Amino acid sequence: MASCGNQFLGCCCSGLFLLRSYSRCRLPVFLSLTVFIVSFALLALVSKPVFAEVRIAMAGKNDLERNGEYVWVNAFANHLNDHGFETLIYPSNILGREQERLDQTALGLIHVNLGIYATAAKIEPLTRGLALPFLFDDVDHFYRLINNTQLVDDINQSLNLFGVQVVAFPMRGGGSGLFNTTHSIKTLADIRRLRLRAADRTQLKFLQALGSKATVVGWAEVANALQTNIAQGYINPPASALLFGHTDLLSYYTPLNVNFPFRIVSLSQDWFQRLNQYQQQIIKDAIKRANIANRQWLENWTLQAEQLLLKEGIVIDHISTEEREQFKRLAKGMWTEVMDDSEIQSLKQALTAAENSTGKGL
Amino acid sequence: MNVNIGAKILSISHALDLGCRWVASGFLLAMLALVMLQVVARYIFDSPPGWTEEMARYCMIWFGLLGATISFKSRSDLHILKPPTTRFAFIHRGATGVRAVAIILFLAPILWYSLIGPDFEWQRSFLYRHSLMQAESIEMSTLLIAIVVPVFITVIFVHLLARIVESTRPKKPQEE
Repeated sequence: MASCGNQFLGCCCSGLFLLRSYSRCRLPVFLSLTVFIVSFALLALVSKPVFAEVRIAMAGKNDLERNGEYVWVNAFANHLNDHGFETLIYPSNILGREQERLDQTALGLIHVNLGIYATAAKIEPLTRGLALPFLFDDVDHFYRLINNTQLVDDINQSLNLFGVQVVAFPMRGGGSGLFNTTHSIKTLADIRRLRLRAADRTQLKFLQALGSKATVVGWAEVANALQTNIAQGYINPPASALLFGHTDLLSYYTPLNVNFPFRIVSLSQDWFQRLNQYQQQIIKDAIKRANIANRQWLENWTLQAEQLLLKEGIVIDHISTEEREQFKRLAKGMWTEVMDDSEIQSLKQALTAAENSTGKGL
Repeated sequence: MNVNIGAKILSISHALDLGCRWVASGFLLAMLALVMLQVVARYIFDSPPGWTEEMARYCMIWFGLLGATISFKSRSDLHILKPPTTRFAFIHRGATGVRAVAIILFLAPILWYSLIGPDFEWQRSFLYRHSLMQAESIEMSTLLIAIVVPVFITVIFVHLLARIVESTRPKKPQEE
């Protein structure tokens, strides 16, 4: 409503200025002008109802071709713009890094934030479960868990106390695989000869469980780590290397579907609760539309991502099903190292419920 | 009575400064040790622990903010303007007043949002939100890190009060 108010105020101010100029005129002229100005102000008010300015923040770039989170944001913002909201998109961590953006969302300074799971996992450890290696068979399996079980409600119980509400999990680019600078990866033994970059404790434990050497390196330092041999590779979806220009440094890629990297979309509770029912419904519809856009993009992207990597000179190696089973077995052994038994149990129950559900879960 | 209160404020300020120096030094040493551990584990043993980087960052926050109180107390913090050297006391007092207002305007809102939060809801304060959060690499509430923010602001306010008390006291002959 702020923009609405601004329009009305602007018209009234202009009107008052004109009235002051014409105040010496006769009464009918004065009245006509008054009616004209008030009508114009009201017209400005109703011609295009502008409910509010919606501030959307994310870490990635505005890249509709390769950035899944922007595809989601773009569809979300377009729907809101078409229905009377004004949207402002802040990409590339302009409003701060992950923790800062989540804090600002809790305070209502940012209305919609796309963040990494690790920040939300600091508040609700169950969130970490969604990134466990080899938990999901494919993207549909992931969304069946998200949409057909109580897991998101359980996550939201904690996050609501913090002041945010999780509403969507857009994909960043399908299953993650292993990039490296030195040799083809076809077996477990090949991985054990590498020192890999871990994004967080979960990845560190996973890589250690596989028998590889691992070191925690912040994403901003990854290019430097690859150049100086501090790390010889990392686990990420294909889009990461393409988006961040690492294809000059990396030489090999092995699709593993370790997990399915996603962003967590959180709404500011303050902001959302202050909207009326009609406006809340528009937001909900925008989320649905954005989810569909993200899934459509993902299907196209998955088909062409490997082709883009090949074009950049990356060699792609595939591992056998038997070998993948070995990865899976070792990965499952480390789950309890990053999550409590009770959390693992909750996750397993949700997974069982998801297995029994059908459909794509969107 | 006023003299006693002034003296007490000054002694509290000195004691807090001494405490901050010890604690900040401890965190500085801890940060150095953690970074060294990370380097040795990474380059010599090829097996770096996952928690050293995060812990070193937390140590830096503690020592950095406590360091800010130390530099404020010792007047070695950044000065954009220096009040003119003059024998007129009112100019010095005026400069102290302007500095005090600037500091309060900058830090009081941060203290407010650390403890109270928007709409007077303490459940939405910076500290409460951090009480709900755990560190990434080890099981530790990030409240232990966030609490340094109100601590350092409170210490700076005490130092500021001490500075005001000092400015109102007549200077000793040897100081002139």
